[in-house]
Amino acid sequence: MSGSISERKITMPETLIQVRNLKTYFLTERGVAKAVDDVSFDIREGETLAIVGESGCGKSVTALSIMGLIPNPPGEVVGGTIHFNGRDLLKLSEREMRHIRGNNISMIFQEPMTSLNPVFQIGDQITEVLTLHQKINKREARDRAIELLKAVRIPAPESRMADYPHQMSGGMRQRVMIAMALACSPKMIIADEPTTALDVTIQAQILELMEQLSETTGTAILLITHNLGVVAETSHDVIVMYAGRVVEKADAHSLYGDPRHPYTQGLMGSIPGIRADDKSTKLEAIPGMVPSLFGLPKGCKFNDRCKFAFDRCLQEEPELKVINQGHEVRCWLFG
Amino acid sequence: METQNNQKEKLIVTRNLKKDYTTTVGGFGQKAVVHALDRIDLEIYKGETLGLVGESGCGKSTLGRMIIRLENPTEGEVHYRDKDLLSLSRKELNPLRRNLQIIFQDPYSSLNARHTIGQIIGEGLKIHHIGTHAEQTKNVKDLMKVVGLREDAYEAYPHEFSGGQRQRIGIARALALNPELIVCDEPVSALDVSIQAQVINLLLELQKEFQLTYLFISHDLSVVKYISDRIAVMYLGRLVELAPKSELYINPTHPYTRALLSAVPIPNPEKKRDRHSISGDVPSPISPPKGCHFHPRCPEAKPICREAVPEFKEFRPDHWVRCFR
Repeated sequence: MSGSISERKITMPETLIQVRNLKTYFLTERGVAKAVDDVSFDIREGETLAIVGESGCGKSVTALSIMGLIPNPPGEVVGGTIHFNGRDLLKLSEREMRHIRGNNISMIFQEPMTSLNPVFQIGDQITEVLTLHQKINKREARDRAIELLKAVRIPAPESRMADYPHQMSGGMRQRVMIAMALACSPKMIIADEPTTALDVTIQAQILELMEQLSETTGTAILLITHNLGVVAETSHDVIVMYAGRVVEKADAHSLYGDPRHPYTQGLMGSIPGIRADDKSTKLEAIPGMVPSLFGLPKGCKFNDRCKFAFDRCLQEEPELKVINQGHEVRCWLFG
Repeated sequence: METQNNQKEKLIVTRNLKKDYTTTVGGFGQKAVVHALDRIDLEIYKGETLGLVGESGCGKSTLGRMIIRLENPTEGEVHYRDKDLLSLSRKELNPLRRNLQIIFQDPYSSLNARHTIGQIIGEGLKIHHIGTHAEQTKNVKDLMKVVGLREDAYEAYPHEFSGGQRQRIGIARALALNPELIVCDEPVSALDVSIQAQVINLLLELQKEFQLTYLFISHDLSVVKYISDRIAVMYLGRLVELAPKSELYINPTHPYTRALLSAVPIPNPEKKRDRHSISGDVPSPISPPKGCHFHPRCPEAKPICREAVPEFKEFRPDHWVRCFR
């Protein structure tokens, strides 16, 4: 058995997490918001999957659903399965889930200021993670915390242990967050807009750090972002979400080389540097605005902004269809 | 600068512009001085888009506000055409204000929540007594059409609009007085990608139609690259490089500019960016390093960089750099 696993690793790493038909709805006074509607994907060990989309597309809710952190009420995972290492996370008790969080899956948030506790020294915050999840004493935890700070390349880690979050810059705080996320050597890290609040030179440092850590530790990363540049640099596979649905799914090379869904094409045309590099060429903006989950159109959810929309798009919602190996699109243009 | 740019009309000229803020550090009221701007000499030509880039805290927004005299500098001069903005009295300044407008980053906090869209856009017309009430209303409605807002939005309040539409309201307000220069302070940073492109396209159309001059402040280098004619790079309160766009991207000369450009992720998985990543963080503007502000992070720093501040020099026509190399 073990022999066959290591053999397979050479060709294809093991699937670490398998999300199938995930549905997370929010029941509010205004009605049911289908924040995540029928989302499926796999992430293999050591790989990075990016979920791209604009505000309200359901990318963060997907992440929170995996972590079991959907506030209930009003939110609820109403369907689907999330198999992690063979177990369905949605069937676990809160106690079991707490064991998974931190030990097996950990999360990095966008805002490193609000996700660290301002009144505790960062050393204590990291050691807390360790003593909470692993059977080690305080001294060992402290040594390990210093090692972690070293791993995320914080200079003078011993003295930094006594710092409070406000004494650190945004980039340093995000490093501390990454150190905490790595503390229990998780199999997977969910990074929700990890560099959005950072300056570009710091963003470059953090992305490089995440890439190296994932290579050395084999940690899988679920990266949630709106930045197509960050995705291109870091991810093996990409999912594009719109209004709670996956509209396109492909490996990064196919998605950037041959985007098929009109929304994906629109996103690519919207940012300077892909098709238009200079103001002499107009940006191909997507008309209209990002929809509210309470007022989604009938049929394809993108039909009111799509320049190719025809009758069928207004009536029926298309399925996610395979158009090439590993490349799926939800659009009637492809049958 | 003399030969090349004499033909170009200078709209704004700043000389030796400095701004210090006093702030308290720690919880016990100790005072410290933040050097937000340090001897900025900058010219903005009529009809151009000058991009101003730099990381948070580098002083780019402060400079933008100073240029339209929303704030007064500690030292130095700002000239708008032949007028020295800082020597003017409030009364003398007021008629000039209509020529110098600003669009803010946050379309949520920059619109008065208790005013209707009509009031927000028309406020400047009222203050400057332009036209009768009926003319003002018509003017506002025309502006709303120009920026792509529906006419029935006139009586609506800001909370009824999305971020992108609010930014259009902010743009209409800036346009109302038919300005010459608009300072665009991160106008698309808070918007979704698909909406960003709409607003950028709108800004470009308006520039053509009304011969506007933009000072476009942003930390997003791909947007700045797209929209600008010339680009100025700031680091910790100082200009470190200034050049026409293509020159800057082909031939970035200051080590900071090079690091900044190479840090931008390229939206193409086939291309790997050649990384000149720099280590360390931006130092605090309260205690900036001696000499060249960039020397602690500079891969090419020499002993002199620690001691003296390099001059801002034109090392090629129109290409200015502040570096000892």
